[in-house]
Amino acid sequence: MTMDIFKAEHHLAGPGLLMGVGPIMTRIAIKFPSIRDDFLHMYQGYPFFEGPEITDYHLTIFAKNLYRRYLRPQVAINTLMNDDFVPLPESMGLLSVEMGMNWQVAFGCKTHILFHAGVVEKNGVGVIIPAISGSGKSTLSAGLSYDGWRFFSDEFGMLKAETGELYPYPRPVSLKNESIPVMKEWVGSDAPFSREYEGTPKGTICYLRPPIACLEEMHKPVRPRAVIHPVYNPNAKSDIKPLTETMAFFRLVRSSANYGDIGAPAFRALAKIAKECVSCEITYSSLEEGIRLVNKFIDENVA
Amino acid sequence: MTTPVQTKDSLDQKQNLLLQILKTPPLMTALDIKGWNQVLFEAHMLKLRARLVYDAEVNGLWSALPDKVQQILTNAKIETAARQRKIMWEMNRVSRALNDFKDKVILVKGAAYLTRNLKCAGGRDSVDLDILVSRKNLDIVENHLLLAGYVSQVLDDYDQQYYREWAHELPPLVHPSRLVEVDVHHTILQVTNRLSPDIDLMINASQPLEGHFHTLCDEDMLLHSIVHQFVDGTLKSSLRNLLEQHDMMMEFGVKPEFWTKFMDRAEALRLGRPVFYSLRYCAHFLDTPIPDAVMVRAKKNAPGRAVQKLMDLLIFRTMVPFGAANGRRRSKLTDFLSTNGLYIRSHWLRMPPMMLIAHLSRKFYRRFMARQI
Amino acid sequence: MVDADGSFNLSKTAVFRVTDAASFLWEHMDDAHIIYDQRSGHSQALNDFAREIFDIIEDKPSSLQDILAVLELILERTIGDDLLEQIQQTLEMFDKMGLIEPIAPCHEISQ
Repeated sequence: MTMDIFKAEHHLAGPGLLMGVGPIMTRIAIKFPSIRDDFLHMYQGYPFFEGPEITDYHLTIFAKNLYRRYLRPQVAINTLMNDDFVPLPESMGLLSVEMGMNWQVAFGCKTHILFHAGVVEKNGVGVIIPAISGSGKSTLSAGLSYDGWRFFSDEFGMLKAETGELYPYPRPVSLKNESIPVMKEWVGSDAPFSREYEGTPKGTICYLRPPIACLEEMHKPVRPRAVIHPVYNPNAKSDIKPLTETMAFFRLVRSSANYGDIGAPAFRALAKIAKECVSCEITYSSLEEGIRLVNKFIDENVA
Repeated sequence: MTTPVQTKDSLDQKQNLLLQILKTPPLMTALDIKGWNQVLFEAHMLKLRARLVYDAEVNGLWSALPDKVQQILTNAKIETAARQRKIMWEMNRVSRALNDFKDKVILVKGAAYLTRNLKCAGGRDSVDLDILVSRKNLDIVENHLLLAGYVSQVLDDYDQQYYREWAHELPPLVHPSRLVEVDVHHTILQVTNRLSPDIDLMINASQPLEGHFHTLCDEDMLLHSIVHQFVDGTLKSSLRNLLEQHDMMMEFGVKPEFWTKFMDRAEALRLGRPVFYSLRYCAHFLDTPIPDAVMVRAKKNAPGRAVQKLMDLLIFRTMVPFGAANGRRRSKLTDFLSTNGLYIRSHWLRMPPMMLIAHLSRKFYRRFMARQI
Repeated sequence: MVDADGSFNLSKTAVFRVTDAASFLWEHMDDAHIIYDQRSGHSQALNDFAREIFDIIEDKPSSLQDILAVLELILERTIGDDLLEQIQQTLEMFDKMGLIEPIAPCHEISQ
């Protein structure tokens, strides 16, 4: 479902553009033309809707007054969900949209168990890659997705407790600092990248659009078969350390923000993954090595 | 998607949709996509989404709802259920901490509704645990809780003094491993307020539950809810609170003698005025079936016409801004509305019109409000 | 009796019972039993020993002495002081988590 870019721009600038990513339908309104440009470039190929559609979230990116709009451009974010964002300079553009959407999903989504994890799939094998921010999981997930794996997410793994299946939520990957040139080299082209946003609280940020094929399959789930906890250490020797079921279980619990809210079904679902999937921790010193270890672990342990 | 129902019980597009749905849940099936977006939006801002789930389930409507609506409402259902579990667990831990304390510990508000399985507990978002004890037991109860690991949230001596002498509760207590606020009350109104009721009457009339706790009797439970909303000089008005009172009136009202006992109690505790307001607004907004004799009796405590009309106006305005006057939330909503070209003045939700004052100069209004609050 | 740090220091004669067995879900992993309490949302890994202690109390309300007696029967030996301390710590942990509770002397064991 492609929409003419002028129409999309028009909606985005006005009452809001309806965009569906995975199970989430968001209405997005952006009052800054430069940010609209960034958005439409990054979300090229994503499903936009004419409407009317029943909407999960409303996101508004705007200026509080004329001063903030034109003289000292400052971006305010409204998620309608008790957010607490400090206003950002207009130059940081897409960050405001990404942060806003992340907030809404992180706090609003209870129908799926959320993991702070990357998720990829190949040949019907789903792999969950949980880790804290800055551990390299985003880079690893992105790297895998440009190496034959189908990209589900780099930030929000989504598991439906009832079916035990992982669902895609393929938003753009957020890359930071050193991983930006690494990924640009890996992908081999600048085209799917946003411009680089410097001076953010986390340094330089750049967004990467996932391959178009995975956007087309964004409603196709997969069964998880492996859980791989990545530890990036440029000075370390490569290593794969298997985890016991108990360790695997508690690590999964730790990586899920809404596990507590969902309760008993989440307990059962995570225990099932701990028992039926193979889990390990990999230590790697480069993206290439990380990808190699993932492929090796899967080849050797998943039928 | 179902087509709009064409009976006399169909949706009135000129009136507030959410209100109609709350009064007549089966009308949910008549909503189109725009209607659902409107209803879901308002319910989100008014914290009534879980209530919609409850109503849909109780009326056997859930499976008829569009998948997307089910998905969105399920988020609210799970979140509210999680909060309810947290409150119930906190009760469990308080009970454990008060293992050898023998006097009455009375649950009030959300925890009480939950344990008594009242209709108003359905889909209700309760966050804190509120308990009521005799003033003489305040220190003992506090000690038990502190020994069990609870930490007082107010450490400043002056504030501690304020809480104990002027407010009607201990400073909130929180256990660091659970982070649920426990409020220990010894009365239900600020001690300084001239309408301070005789709390011992309520404590003596409380009903025991299984295990450690008690709850207020029906009449006192309803009075407590009303007192919170309509007294204290401020108007903590919200549709949620009104709905709570409406639910209790419906549930308790069918029991014999309830209304008589309730009005007797209200007058004995000099709470006739706030009760009048509650009955008036429940009847107006939610069509609560209040017996005529009760309304007549309640009207005896009505204010003068000017005050009444001003209260109507105030309720009208404050019923809309989504809960207690919370500056931050209101401005987020205003931001959203204005940037999306939806800003209309306070009547934008199209509440059923009340008798508004024909002409009232703004100056008089402001002066009057300054005196009231 | 309660310690200053907020933990419950239980007298050796306190009798414990399992509070609400119906709320507990169990999963048996390769090296531990995991108990999930639906009331609190907490999960805890128990080794075989801790599971044994729990089962004893679930079977019937027991004091520390009662538990020792049963364990000595099962293990076919007397239990030394360090093991005793472990058992006591396990009981304290169970109590803290809300899995068990002491039956106060003046309360009847209610159904």
